[in-house]
Amino acid sequence: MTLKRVVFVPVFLLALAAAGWSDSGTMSVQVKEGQLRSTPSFLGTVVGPVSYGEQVQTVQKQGDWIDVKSSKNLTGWIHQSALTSKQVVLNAGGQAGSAANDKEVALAGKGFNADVEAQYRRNNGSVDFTWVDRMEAMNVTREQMISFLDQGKVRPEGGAK
Amino acid sequence: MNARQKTLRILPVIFLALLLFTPCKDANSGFSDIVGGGLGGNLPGPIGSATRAVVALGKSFQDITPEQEYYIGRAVAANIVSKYPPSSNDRFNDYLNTLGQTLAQASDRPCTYGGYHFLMLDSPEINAFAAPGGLILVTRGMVGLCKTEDALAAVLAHEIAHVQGMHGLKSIKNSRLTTAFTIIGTEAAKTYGPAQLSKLTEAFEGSITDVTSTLMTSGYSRDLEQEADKGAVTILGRVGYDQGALIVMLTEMKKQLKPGGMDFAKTHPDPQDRIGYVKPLIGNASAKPIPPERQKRFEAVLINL
Repeated sequence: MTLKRVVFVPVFLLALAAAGWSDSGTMSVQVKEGQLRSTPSFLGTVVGPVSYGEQVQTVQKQGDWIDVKSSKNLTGWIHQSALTSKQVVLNAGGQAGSAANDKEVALAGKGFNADVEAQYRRNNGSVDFTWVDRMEAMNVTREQMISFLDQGKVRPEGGAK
Repeated sequence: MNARQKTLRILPVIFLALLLFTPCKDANSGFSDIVGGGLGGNLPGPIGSATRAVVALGKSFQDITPEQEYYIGRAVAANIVSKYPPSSNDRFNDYLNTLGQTLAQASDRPCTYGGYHFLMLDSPEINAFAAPGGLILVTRGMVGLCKTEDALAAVLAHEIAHVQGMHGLKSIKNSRLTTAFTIIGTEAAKTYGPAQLSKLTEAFEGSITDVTSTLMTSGYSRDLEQEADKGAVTILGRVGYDQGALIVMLTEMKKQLKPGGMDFAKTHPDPQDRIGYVKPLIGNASAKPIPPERQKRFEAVLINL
């Protein structure tokens, strides 16, 4: 092996690492319930769920959609708005954030959270959350969306299926 | 040239490459360092470490996590629903959610922490509100202005675009966020102590007041309204609704809204002004005829509204 190769290869790898490429393939789920789909579209079949804070490996990107592999080895497409490049730290406490900065981590359950809402509700008894909870239970499935579009003869860009 | 000479010639190039590829220090790190030093830089042990780390966990509304946005949105929506009685017309609310959630999937931000959900408010006032995170409320008066599903889609798409742009969060005063981000940084325990919880709740209450008063009283800036109209045109086009329905709705609002009124007229730019900047966005696209099936189902859900 020549001296040139001996020096250049490790230094090139070092340059890549310094550029941050080594960890560019990992992202975290930043929504309560994410879904992986068979195609890069919300009308694509659901392959399986991913949960808040779960880390996924990115495979490829197409428009706003990212093809990922989940921690349970499921592969599928998910919209980029469901992911963050930060590491979502669940149940953060103690020194959880010791190496953290705002470019690297998001602490789940911190800041304005369920405890703060509960305290807010105790302080503001006239503010009623009953209907907010009911709203959150109003969910529409992919099949209902496709049927709705079809029955109303609404033709999305790129097709409904 | 022998191998050693070649290597000597390459080394400066490699050194330059390393300099170029090495990430720069965060341009805002000065701010973090200052706050960090002031709050916990000298604290010993674990708390000190956590403090130094977390003081950088936020600077502006953009650093509010989707999870925190969700809790803000819930409280904002609860405040609005406490002032306007919600409609318990399940049939219409189901329809509203099917239409609204389908539109939201075509936005640039289809995934929020808790998702998009819609509700009609049983009020004759002409109004609509988008709480952060995707809880969208539209009054019976506003629905009554819509003559077609496409027109209602235009109203919902405008509100979705406000969520997409995180416009509600922009109205929160920085002082509230500074308090929240600081506590996130300084509190090492998994759950907050009474003092931290009290401070956080105070900042939370202030944030809810900031957003709610913007939605119900002062309104967004003309620029943000224009951004929401632009987003609405895009969403309508992607889903396949008539983009011109937004102009139809604005024309209807122009007829119905009373200047100086306490509703949409108070919180939105003059509809004629909005028509002026929406028209060029649509361009020469010809109006899409409304299929009879779509109009029939729309009129059906309006019965007994």
